[in-house]
Order: sequence, then structure tokens, then C-alpha cells
Amino acid sequence: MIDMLSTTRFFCLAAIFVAFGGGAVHAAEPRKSDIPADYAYALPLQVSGQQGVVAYTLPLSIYLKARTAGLDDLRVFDAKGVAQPFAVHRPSPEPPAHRDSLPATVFPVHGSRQSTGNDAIDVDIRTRSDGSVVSVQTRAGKAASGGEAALTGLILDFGATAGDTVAPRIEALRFAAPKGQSNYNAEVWLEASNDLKHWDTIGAAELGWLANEGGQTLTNDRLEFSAQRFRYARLSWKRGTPIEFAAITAETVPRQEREPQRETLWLKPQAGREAGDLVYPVGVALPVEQISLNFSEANIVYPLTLGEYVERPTRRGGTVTEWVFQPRTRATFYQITQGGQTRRSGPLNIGSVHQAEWVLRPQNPQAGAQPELGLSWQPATLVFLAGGTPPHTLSFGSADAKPAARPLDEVAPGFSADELQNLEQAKAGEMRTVAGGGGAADSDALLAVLSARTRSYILWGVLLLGVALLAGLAWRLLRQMKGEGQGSE
Amino acid sequence: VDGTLVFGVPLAAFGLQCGLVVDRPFGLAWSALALGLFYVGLSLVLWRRRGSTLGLLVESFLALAIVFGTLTIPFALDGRWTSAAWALEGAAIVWVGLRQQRKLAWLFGLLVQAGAWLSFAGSYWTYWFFDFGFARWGGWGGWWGDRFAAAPEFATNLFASDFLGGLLLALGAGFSSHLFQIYREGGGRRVLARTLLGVGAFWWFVVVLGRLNDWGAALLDAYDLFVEMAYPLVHPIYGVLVALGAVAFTRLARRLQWPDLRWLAYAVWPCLLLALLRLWTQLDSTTHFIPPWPLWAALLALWLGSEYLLRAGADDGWLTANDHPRALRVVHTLRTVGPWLLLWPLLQNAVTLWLQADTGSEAVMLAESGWFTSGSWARYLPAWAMIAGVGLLIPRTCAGRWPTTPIPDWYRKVLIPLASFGALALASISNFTENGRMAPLPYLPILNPLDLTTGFAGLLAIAAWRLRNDGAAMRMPTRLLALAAGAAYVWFNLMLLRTAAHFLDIDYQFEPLFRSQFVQAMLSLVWTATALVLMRLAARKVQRLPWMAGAGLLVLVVAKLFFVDLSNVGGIERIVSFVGVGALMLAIGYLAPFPGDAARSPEKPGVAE
Repeated sequence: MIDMLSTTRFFCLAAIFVAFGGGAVHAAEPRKSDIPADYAYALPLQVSGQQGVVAYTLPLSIYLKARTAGLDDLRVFDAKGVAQPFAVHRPSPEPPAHRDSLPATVFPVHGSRQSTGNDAIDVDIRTRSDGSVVSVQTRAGKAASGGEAALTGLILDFGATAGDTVAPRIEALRFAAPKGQSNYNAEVWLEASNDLKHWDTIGAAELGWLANEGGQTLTNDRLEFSAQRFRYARLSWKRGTPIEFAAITAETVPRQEREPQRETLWLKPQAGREAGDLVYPVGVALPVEQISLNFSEANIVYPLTLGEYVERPTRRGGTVTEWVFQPRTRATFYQITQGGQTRRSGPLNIGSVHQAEWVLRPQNPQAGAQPELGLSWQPATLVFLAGGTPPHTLSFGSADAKPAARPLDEVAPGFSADELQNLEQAKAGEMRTVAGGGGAADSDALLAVLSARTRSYILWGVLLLGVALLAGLAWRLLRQMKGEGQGSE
Repeated sequence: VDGTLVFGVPLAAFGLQCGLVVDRPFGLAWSALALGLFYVGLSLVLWRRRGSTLGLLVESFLALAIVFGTLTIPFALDGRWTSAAWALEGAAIVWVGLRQQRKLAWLFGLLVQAGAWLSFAGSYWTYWFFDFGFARWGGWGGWWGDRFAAAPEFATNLFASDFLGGLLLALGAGFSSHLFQIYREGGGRRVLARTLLGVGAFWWFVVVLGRLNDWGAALLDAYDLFVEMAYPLVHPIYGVLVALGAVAFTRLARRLQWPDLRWLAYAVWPCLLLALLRLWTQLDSTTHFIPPWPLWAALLALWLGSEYLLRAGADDGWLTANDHPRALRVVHTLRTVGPWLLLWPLLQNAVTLWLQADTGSEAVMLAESGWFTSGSWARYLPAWAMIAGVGLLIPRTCAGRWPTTPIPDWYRKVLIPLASFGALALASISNFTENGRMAPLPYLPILNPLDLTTGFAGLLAIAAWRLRNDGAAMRMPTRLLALAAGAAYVWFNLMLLRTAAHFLDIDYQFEPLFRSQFVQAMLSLVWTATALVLMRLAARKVQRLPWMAGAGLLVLVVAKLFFVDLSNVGGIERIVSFVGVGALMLAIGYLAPFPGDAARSPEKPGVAE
């Protein structure tokens, strides 16, 4: 009888295959607790008790010790450990109180009504060498000052400001009421151009002045659009009679927006994972917006690559993961003394970047400079509801916390910007370290490589089993055939 | 007893009563109840007084009482149950008619039942025959979405649907069929019995089981166990019901001595086929699909139902290898080969799912650092499992035990050889198309899954061949042996090419391999070495054929050296190949002279002819 296949071995194999199927199903993760003991640090916050909504400007220490990029591991607990609603609020820079205004030079365009209508105004415009408009004529050949032809549109020139080569950034036009007309209503369209050749429609508005017998006037005299740079504008009427306004002024956006308030942290370099690299460890929570370097050398030009080390699964034996430099940006910093004056590179804007450590890889490592790294950020304000039982604690420091911050209007609903500016500031006490809090979570790379390794170990096992099975079966078959061969002879 | 009078009067009276009270709430139910009680009282009184002489009348009145009592329930539930009532009435009239040998009576009963079927079908005509009835019978298939959308209230409440109506119709038809089976006299009655049974089966499988399936699926859905909408190809509850029905009908058929009833049990086989087909399609078309447990439960139930039928057929002698060999073969093929084929897509999906990273970000991270997983595992491991399955079957076929009995020869001669042929075909195709990569494991020559698969397939082929020719001469015919040796040599060359392709880091494609000097030199040396071994053996055993084959190989090598290797730009590989081939040929000339006629030994008859 042929009984060449070992039943038990095949059942082993079948069991492994079943295990494959079972392994593919992942159990759902249980919901985690959220108590003060989960967080590594606790900062007591003292409030007067008079105010319900209290603010606290986050100090550097919190940014350095929080363990998530978005400050997701911030919690406000009361004395009983009940989480209180809070918002992390970054006050936006105040909008400028006044806008600059820029008068426009107005050139009326005349033409016969019938020929214009909705069509583009067909005009002949002469300009000087600096671009300012000398005269505007319709193609019909009639002089603009002719008088018998009706007004069809206006061309505006904003380029008169001396010394400016760049066109101003305009966000609205303001019209002065036409002379002698107390009631006026029209719909105008605005097209913009920088060369008087290519026109883009950028806005339309109803303009109107309505006066009553008492001499009071209702005005609607602004034409707003999204701020953009242009030198010339063309105004055409979709409805109403074209007229020349007493004056047209442009509201421009101030060139220099107010710089937000930033704080800067200066860090000393440490040796990196690779020779020549300089590492500046800092918390991942710090939202770095600007980077500057401070050199001790008097004269130095320092091209560099900024980046970070990223943990990657590795295939090399011995280690599980490896750290790879991942560049973020390149820049050149310098400090040069020239003619008795020191020229220094300014801060480098990089948006808002969270990195646990900043790695600086010099292009010429032999320079050997050890510059200090300045990281600038805008500190945010914690706004929280001082509910529950005081005193309150600000807990933070947990790598796998889920974000708990609410929008500002869910913490302080109905508060005006002024009120928010002038909230009571909580006073912080001594920071405590919570024993066993904020357990260090395994990194993603570690988890990935561990699961991948498990899979490959199982594959090795399957392979070895296959080899053993094949060898065993072949040996058995050979023995059987030999036995039968002997038996038959 | 005049059946028409006895049964016609209450029927007509009840019809009129229907018209009177149809508007009132539960009017019909009360009327039916009253009539039922009236007939119960009537039969009771008659039995007490004249029980000896008017026995049949008493029985008839009692039947009427039962019918009207039964009617009360559906009337209480719903107003549109005329057809169900008629079906029961018809069955009762057929019964009495057959007992009294009155052809007119049972014809009338059949007529009433036919009216019931028509009225039932008519009320659902719109979606029933087109969307629902035939579609379900044809494949318990895609009508699902339409049906759900059309009548959502049916799904949650079983008794709000036409389930009870269908059940009564099916029972009425089945009962009548059974009556004709009992009171059979001629061939005509037999046809009638079967027709009635077919109609009953139609109501049973379409309406009763269909409604139960709707209801059960809604229940599963309500308890978040299983959403049938997500797997529209298989209806697990229907499958389980058919399987349970198979057992029930088989037992009923045995007890009632009614062999025709077994036809309803046979439905388990087409259902098993459909379930296997649908599951296979779904597994094959959806990459990461592992069927949820209800589908497995249905498949298992159907398969067990089939096993029960097979065993019952063998025990009761209505499905034996002698009487119905062809049917047995078909059923065995279905129930053995079907699940075996299902292993392929199932394990493919399972292995793919298991091999991939847990999350997308993890996969990206692993890919960035050079961790790759070869998709070939998902093809080799299912192949191993399938080969293992056949391997498990071989000793059982020899012993004629469970899965193969009572037709082990069918397995021995056809199924197992076919399966091993399929395994060989798969191995051959893989050998020519796949490069044997086994990431995340490093490549190993011979010990990679592709070569192991080839080995398994080869072993299985040998085992299957031995099984097929068990008892016959155990020695393989020379031609087959030569074919096997040739195949093994082709595999050996391909294995070398795969290994070279891997370690030289070139594609496992004809063009780059052909252009590689190393590969050319390797092939030259290997072929010459093979020729040396062949010719040496041939010289020792004094066989001409292997010697000629070796000489042919040598000619091939020389031709290759001059036409291919020489035309390539020179390198150390070319020198090595020329010198190596030269040295080997020298060795051949010395070690393996042509086995001439003089050297042929008399006891070894020539195989060279």
C-alpha cells in the first residue's frame, strides 16, 4: 500500500495556513483612559476664582516637554482629575488700523453709445516713457475733450507715486460723489492691467448716492476686490449713466505687514549621528517659524542643509531601525565684517515646522564652526474654562494622546476680541514630574519593522517546513520504490 | 356523502359572508372562527348520535372545521389570504375525493388549488415572476437590491410578508401530491403526484425559503452580524435552509415511503455548486476578501447536507455505485473538487492580506527602507496547500476510505491524476515565467518556494502515477522516464538561470540572460559537464542512447561556442568557457568512448533502437 504522505505533517501545514487566515484579522484597539497620571508632567495653574475663562501663555518649558507636534497632549484637569475644556489660541496680529490711500489720475473715455455697449472700449492710449497716461482717444478719431461724444468709461492710472517701480497692492477703490448730483446709481465693472494691453476683470459693484430732503445721504461708494497689484484700471458701466466722479482713490495694503511677536530660543550644537552634522535637540511641539544662526567667528560664510533624522526600518542585522538624514531646506548663513560694519544673514522663514531635533549639515564641514541655532516661534495662549474644583493642573507629555483642544468659541463663546486680549492670566506653580506618566510609545518604525520581521520569521518557518516535507517525502518515495523493486525481483 | 354539497355550501356561504364583513375589522376572522366552531359542534353532535353510520360525514365536517379554524389565523393577520384558504380547501377536498374514489371531487379540489396558485401569483405578478421568482430559483442572485428597495417592511416582519401564504400553498400542494402517492392506481396519478410535488417545491423554494432568507438576513443585519448587501453573491441563510431541508426531506421520504420527496433534498447539490461558484467568483474578483463566517456556515451546511445525502443514499440503497455511477461521480467531483479549488483564491487572499503591512504609512516606511514582499508567496503557498490536499487523499484512495468511498477508482483514475497534472502545469508555467524571488527572505537557490513547488508537483505526479497504475507493472516506460529526465534537466537549467539572474542582478528575461557572458559560459560548462556525466555513464553501462544524447549536447555546445560566445565581446568568461569546454571534451574522449557493438554485453538488450 502506498502511504507516502505523512498525515500529521500535512495537518501541521494546514494549521499554518489557517493561522495565516487568522492573523489577517486584527482586533480593534480598546479605548484608552485619559487621566492626569497618563501625562508625564503637571503644572499647577492658580487662578483668582473671579473669572470663568482664564488665559495662560504657554511658556517654553511646555513646548520643550510636550511630546506631540500639535500640542495634542495638553490637558487641563481640575483637582478631581476631570478634564476641563480648553483652547489653544494663537492671537493673530492686529489688522492695520488705517489703510493707505492712493489717488488715481482719471482719464475719461468718450465714444458713441451705440458702438460701445458691452464691448470692450476701443481706445487709443498714449503713454509717456515712464508709463503714465498722456491722453486717451476713441478709435473713432474724435478728441477726448470733444464734448459732443458721450462718456463711456474711465481709465485710471495709479502709477504716479514717485520712486516706486512696483505697482501698488490695491484692495478697494473709493469713489467721491459726482459733483452736482445728489442721487446717483450705477453698476460698474473694473478691469485691471499693468501694460494697458491685457485687461483682467477683477471686480464689479453697485455704486449709489441717495440723499433725502434733510440733506442726509446714504452712500455706497466702495468697490472691493481681492487685493492685487496693478497699475491701470478701466471702469465701465453695466448699468446707469457714465459720469466723472469728483475723485477716485485706491485703498492699498500697507507694504509692511506687522511682524507677529516671536520668541527665540538659542541652542548650542551637539555632535550628530554622522560626522560633521550638528544636532540641536528641541521638543517636537515647538512650532518653529524662523531659523537664525549665531556665529562666534568674525568672518564666515556657511552654506548648509537643514533637516532631521528619520527613523527607518532596516534590513541590516543587529539593529532594528536606522536613522537617516532627511533634508528639509538649504540656505547660506554668513557673518562678514566689511568696512567696520558687520553684515549678518537674517532669519530664514520656514513656515511652521515641528521637529524633535534640528540637524544642520554644513556644506563645508571642514569649516568647523559651532554656530548657535536660533529657533523663533509664536507662543500660543491656552484659554481654558476654570470649571470644576480648583486648583487646576495643566498636564502634558504623552506621545500617543489624541487632540483634546476645542475651538475657541466652544471654550469662550461670545467673547469679543478685546475680552480675549484681556483675559485673566493664570499663574503657574512648580512643574511636577508624574512618575510613570506618558509611557514611551514604540516608534512607528519599530512597530513596522517588528511586524515585518515576524512575518519573515513565519515565512522562514513555512519554507523550512516545506523543505523538510519535500525531503521527507522524496526519501520515503525512494525507499518505497526501492523496497518494491526488491520485492518484485 | 355528497362532497360537492358538503364542501360547496360552506365555501359559497363563506364567499358571501366575505362580501358582507370584509369591511369590518377582523370580520373575516370572526366569521371563519364561527364557521369552524359550528362545524366542530356539528361533527361532535353527529358523531355522538350517528357516529356508526355517518362516519365519513363526521370526518368531512371535522375537516371543514379544521380548515376554517386554520383560516381564522391568517384572516386575523391579514385580509388577502383567499388563495391560502383555497389551497387548504383544495387539499381537503382532494383528500376526501380520493378516499371516496370520486374523481369529480378530487378534480374539483385540484381546480380550487390551481385557483389558489393563480390568485397568489396574480397578486404578486409584477415583481414576482420577473424580478424574484425565477431569478431566485436560477441562482438566489442579484434580485436582492431591487427586492429590498421594493418591500422593506417584509424584511423585518416575517408574518407581514407572503411567507405564510406561500407556506400554505406549498403544504397544500405537497399534501395533495402525497395523497396521490398513497392512492395511486395508474400511471396518470403518478404524473399528477409529481406535478403537484413540483408545484409545491416551487412555492417552497421560491416563497417560503426566500421569505425566510429575507427575514433572517434582516435579523442578522439588525444585530450587526452580517450585511448581506455587502456580499450580494451568496445568501447564507437560504443555503443553510436548503441544507436543513435536505436532511428533513430525506428523513420524511424514508418515513412516508415517498421516494419522490427526495427530489426536494437533491436541491442541496445545485445549491452547493452555486455557492461554491459564487464564493469562488467573489474571492477571485476581490483581492483582500476573506468571506465572513455566515458564508462559511452556509457552505459548511450545504456540504454537510450533501454528505448526509450521500450517506443516506448508500444506507437506503437509492444512490449506490452500481445503480447510479454517473450521478455519484458528478456529486463526488462537486463535493471534493469544489472546496479544493476554493483553496486557491482563499489562500491567495489570506496570504496577501497577511503579508501586507498593517497600515498604509507602515507600508510606505517599509518600502522606503527597502523591505519588499514578493507577491509570489501568495501563489506558492496556496499551491502547496492544494498539493497537500491531494497528497492527503492518496492514502485514503488506496484504502478506499471516507472521502473516496464508494468510488475510489474515480479518484484513482481521474481526479487525482488530473489534479497532479494541474500541479505540474502550474509548476511548469511558474518555472518559465517567475524569477523565484522570495522577498522578504533572501533568495536561495533550490530552496526557494518556486523550486520547492516544482519538487512537490513532481513528487505528486510520481505518486499519482503510481496510484493510477497500482497493481500494474511498477517500472515506468522508457519514454516516460526519458520525458521526466528531460523535464528535470530543463528545470535544472532554469534553476541555474534564475540563480544567475539573481546574483548578477539582471532581469529573468530571455534577452538580458542571452546577452550575459557569464550565463553563456555557465551554460556551456554545465552542458558539457552533463554530456561528460551522461557519456561516462553510457560507456559504463554500454548504452548508446544516453551516449548519443551526450554527444548531441556536445555538438550543441560547440555550435553555441562558435555562433554565440565568439560573437560576444571578449572577456574572462569567454576564455573560461572555451578552456573549460576544451578540458571537459578531453576528459570525455578519455573517459567515455563510444560504446561499440563489440562492447555490448549480451544480458543487456539494446535500448538504443
